[in-house]
Amino acid sequence: MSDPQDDRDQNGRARFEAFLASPAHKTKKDKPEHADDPVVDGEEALGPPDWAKQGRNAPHGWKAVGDTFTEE
Amino acid sequence: MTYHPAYQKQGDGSQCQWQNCGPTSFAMAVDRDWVGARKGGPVPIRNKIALYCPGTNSTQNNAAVKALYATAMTAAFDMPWGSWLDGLVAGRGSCIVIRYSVVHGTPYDACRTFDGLHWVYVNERRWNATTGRYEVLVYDPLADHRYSWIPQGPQWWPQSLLQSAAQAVQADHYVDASFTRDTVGSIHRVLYAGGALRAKPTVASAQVGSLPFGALLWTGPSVAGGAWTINGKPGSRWVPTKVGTVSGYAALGWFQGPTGAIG
Repeated sequence: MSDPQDDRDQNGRARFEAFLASPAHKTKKDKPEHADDPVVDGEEALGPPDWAKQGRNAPHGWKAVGDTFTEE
Repeated sequence: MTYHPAYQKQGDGSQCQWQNCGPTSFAMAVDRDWVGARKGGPVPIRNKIALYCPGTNSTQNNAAVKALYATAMTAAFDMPWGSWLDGLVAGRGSCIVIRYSVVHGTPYDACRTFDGLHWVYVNERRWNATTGRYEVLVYDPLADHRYSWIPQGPQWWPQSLLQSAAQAVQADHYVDASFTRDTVGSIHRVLYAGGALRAKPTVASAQVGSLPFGALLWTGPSVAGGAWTINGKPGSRWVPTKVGTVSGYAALGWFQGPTGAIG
């Protein structure tokens, strides 16, 4: 089952190849974007968020375990 | 099944750790490109860029991973979100820039004190029938579980959350990203040196050519054949392929990463 409005699993590959070959595909940017510097100080002072205080696991019950992904 | 690269965190204690979201995301893209046979690292990528320690962009990271690991990424700037999604489902992994403030308030938030631009690596998407939504497997380099409430490793984000965060980078809602090659289709990389192209699917058959290390070759459906051992792993499946104008068979192991995944 999937969203019937989303045809990407059937047509996405062909459409992407067409996009790469089209003039809309920009491989350069006049002003390259830079990722900003994360500010990680202060996270501990904020303490755990409300959902964590309630004893729930991150996030929405989905947790990655090694190379498999299980619902908790 | 799509190969899952090993997760890497940017907070590794290196000099530029908190500015290395780009090199870390592109390192995981290298792992995808080589299906685990080679793994990139944020420190070598940062050293190749040789700037200490501003944030990094597509152009810098693409050049670094190509020089270090022969991983050719496809950069795309100002692309519609729909085209980015098409690329993801087309068998490619993607490094994409997001605005981190959009993630705040969700359980996927790995740094509540950071609002700026951030690279993440996205491996694939899936339909979650339980939640009735598409989800994308996001490798956020900040998701290192350094506190108990911070996510650990790859997470299935709602596709809508990633879309909102990526489209918040620019006022026109276009997104910037780089893609790995298609590792799911019928073009695969020769992952190890010393491969032979043989006339028939057995090591006893005449060698008609060599498999160039790192080359991307078309391969057909695998067939049963003689036993082989490659990179310490045994098998007996062979694939038809072509090197230049010479056709033949190659042991499947030349295209299999350490986990057995084909890339």
